[in-house]
Amino acid sequence: MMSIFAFALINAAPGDPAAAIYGGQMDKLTQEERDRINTNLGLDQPVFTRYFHWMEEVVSGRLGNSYANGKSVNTILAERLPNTLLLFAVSFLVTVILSMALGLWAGLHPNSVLDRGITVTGIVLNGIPGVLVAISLIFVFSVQLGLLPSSGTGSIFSGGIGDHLRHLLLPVVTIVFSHVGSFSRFIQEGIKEEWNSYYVTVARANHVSRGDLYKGVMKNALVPFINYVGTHVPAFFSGFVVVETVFAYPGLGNMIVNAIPIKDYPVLMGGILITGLVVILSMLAVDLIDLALNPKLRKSVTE
Amino acid sequence: MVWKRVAAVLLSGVMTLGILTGCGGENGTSSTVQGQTSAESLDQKDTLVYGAEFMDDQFNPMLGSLYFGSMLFRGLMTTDENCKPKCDIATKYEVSDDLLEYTFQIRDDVKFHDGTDLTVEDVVFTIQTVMDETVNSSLREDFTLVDKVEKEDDTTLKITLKEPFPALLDKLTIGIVPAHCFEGQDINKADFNQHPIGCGPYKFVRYETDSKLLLTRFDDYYGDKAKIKNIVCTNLPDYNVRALQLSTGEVDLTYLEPSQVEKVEQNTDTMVYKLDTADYRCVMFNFKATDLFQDVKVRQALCYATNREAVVNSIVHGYGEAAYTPLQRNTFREEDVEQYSYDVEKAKALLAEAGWKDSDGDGVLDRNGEKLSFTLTAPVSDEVRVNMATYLAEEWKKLGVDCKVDALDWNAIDIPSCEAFVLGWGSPFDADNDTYRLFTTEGSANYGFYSNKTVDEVLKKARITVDQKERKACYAEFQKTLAEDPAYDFICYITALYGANNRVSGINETKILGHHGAGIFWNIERWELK
Repeated sequence: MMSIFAFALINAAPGDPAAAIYGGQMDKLTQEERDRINTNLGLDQPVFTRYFHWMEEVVSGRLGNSYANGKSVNTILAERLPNTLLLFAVSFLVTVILSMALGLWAGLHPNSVLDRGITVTGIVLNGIPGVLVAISLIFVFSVQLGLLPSSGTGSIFSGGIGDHLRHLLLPVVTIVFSHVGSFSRFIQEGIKEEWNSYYVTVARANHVSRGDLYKGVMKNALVPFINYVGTHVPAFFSGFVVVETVFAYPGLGNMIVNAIPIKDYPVLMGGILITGLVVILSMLAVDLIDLALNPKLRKSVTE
Repeated sequence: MVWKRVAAVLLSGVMTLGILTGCGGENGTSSTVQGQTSAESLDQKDTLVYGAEFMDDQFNPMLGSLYFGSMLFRGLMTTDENCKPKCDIATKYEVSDDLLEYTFQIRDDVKFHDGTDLTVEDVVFTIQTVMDETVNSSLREDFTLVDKVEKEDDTTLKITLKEPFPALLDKLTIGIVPAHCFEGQDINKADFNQHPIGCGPYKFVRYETDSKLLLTRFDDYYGDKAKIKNIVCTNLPDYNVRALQLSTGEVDLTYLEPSQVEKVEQNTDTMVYKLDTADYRCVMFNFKATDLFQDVKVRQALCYATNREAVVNSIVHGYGEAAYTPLQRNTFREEDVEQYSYDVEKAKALLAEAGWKDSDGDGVLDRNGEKLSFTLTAPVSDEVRVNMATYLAEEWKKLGVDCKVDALDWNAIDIPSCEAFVLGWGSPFDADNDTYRLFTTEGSANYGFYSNKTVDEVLKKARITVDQKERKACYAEFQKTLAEDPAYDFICYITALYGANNRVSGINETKILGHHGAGIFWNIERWELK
């Protein structure tokens, strides 16, 4: 389903692989050459034929070759997927841990400075577009201070894990920035809601210890949070399109952005397919975690 | 109990992360080719780092011109510092009297990076492949006049043309590839395109997609051995980052924007090379899309109302030169032509002479009910061209010309259907190359459908003339005619600006470069690092 939709969408967009082959020499591309290259790539055939041909290849495990450079899409994905997964894993974990810490503290200390601070900054951060955050970070840390690299995954002469992390820092901070506000607000609100609920009031009236209360409240507040996080996995991946482009980070998002203007079908379809797969797998993982944490859900599944 | 669960989730998360990074590392090394030099063992002392505005997407010289092609590949011919073709892999060549047969002798001591010898078959294969219809090459146009390529004997090669084509020698600078690497393979998808083997002074080590290209000196190179051991080309599309990394010494050489020159020159460790290019910008008049330009006076008026000095000083910050002919950077340049120096009054007079006046008082000139109004298109990704278009539209408004600017994505642009277009063209090589196909009636790149009998005649004659004096006379007449009956409103030539660390020497400062400073690496083997 997704692939049909994507294929149709790409087909409707303007663009031309011949332009990619000519690159900076677009002035020299004549109509005859454009037609010849499109015919070679089979783009003169109707969109249905091309779609079924693509499907056939996919079923046999081949995703075709890029129109721009003839490279096998399988190879391209193998190069780029690890970079994007690394970026996803690090930024996702940092976001979840940070927002849990902030949200829990704020929720358990109503009307404290942090509590009010999170409410306000959460809304503000949510409203700032990632691209603005990214460019501001580059401006401050790379251009003005010269502390951190603004692009790529590693420098030429130093190398090593430390260097890799330095390159990862700004993209991760950008992604964390755009999600941590709403995530921590969600927990904060959840905790408050639980705290004000009837069972807590009853428990407090019956002198249940504060520690036990906290435990119960946190546990109940975390279950909807995990669901919330799960639904946000696709948002992370769509954010990578912007972040990877700004930081020239060689991942899937950057690849897709480069392939769109030249209608590089095989690369685009491969990218969409693999992103879809990763998103589905991560959501499955979140569901499993949810299952482990939520006895109610577990019961309904086992029964 | 809750904490235990939370800890378990966190722990599993950390483990997933560990697995993923592990995968990343493995994939990273397995997808690159193992060379002798790894990133970790590179010594900055004998490594030149080039901060690249553009990276090559593939490394097959048959499929298109490459930014780093002259390092990896060499061709039958090369060009000298005056952009004249001279022998490289060819040792000598003969041209038949009818200018249709070229016979080349080639060197027998040329080795490819994989140790095999370069043979005549490899040369034949290279040229025939580019000419092949099924190969998605952007260079095919260059060889359409070639009829056949044949091997005569082990060191002799014959090329037969369909009609005389003086620019052939320039085209034969195309890098020769080893034919055996392509046996039974689809050229468009061959593994070679990512792991090239050439016979140039540097050989390919590895390419980290979109990020870094590593090259190292080829010790069996047939010519002068390169002095710099390693070259790293690192992808820096952002010009601010390029200038920054030049100032910190992270890159040794990079392409600059005009606004950055002053700062780079102030730094005592870096300097700026200002290199002339044959790359000009002009407004193409379309004779089919609108009738307005049929009248030569309209075109002349627009040319007179173009303030070229102002464009050079403001839009390209003084790093350019006012243009008046397409051959301004060629040996056949003719200065004695109408150069259309800025003169608004003369422009107004020309339009009045042609019968254009503002009869309805709306500020736009008209004649027989038709308004002097057209659209000027420019590619939106090219800031300089868009600025030129908006500037000219404002200037022309003074004449009462209504020029609308349309900045479009390249994909949405079809030049032959634009009423007027900000075109970029020019090559530093043979005069025929970028005149015949642009200005003759049947020219393959005559997007504006320009047609002038004299131009057709002299360009055809120049093509089949051997005597250099006679050719010069032909091109002089061509330039004069073109100036009187302009196909384009020439705006300016653009200077290429390269910032370099002082430790780099050997960069040639007189060679005329191509588009965006293309061709700077032509004598890379003579460069040195202090």
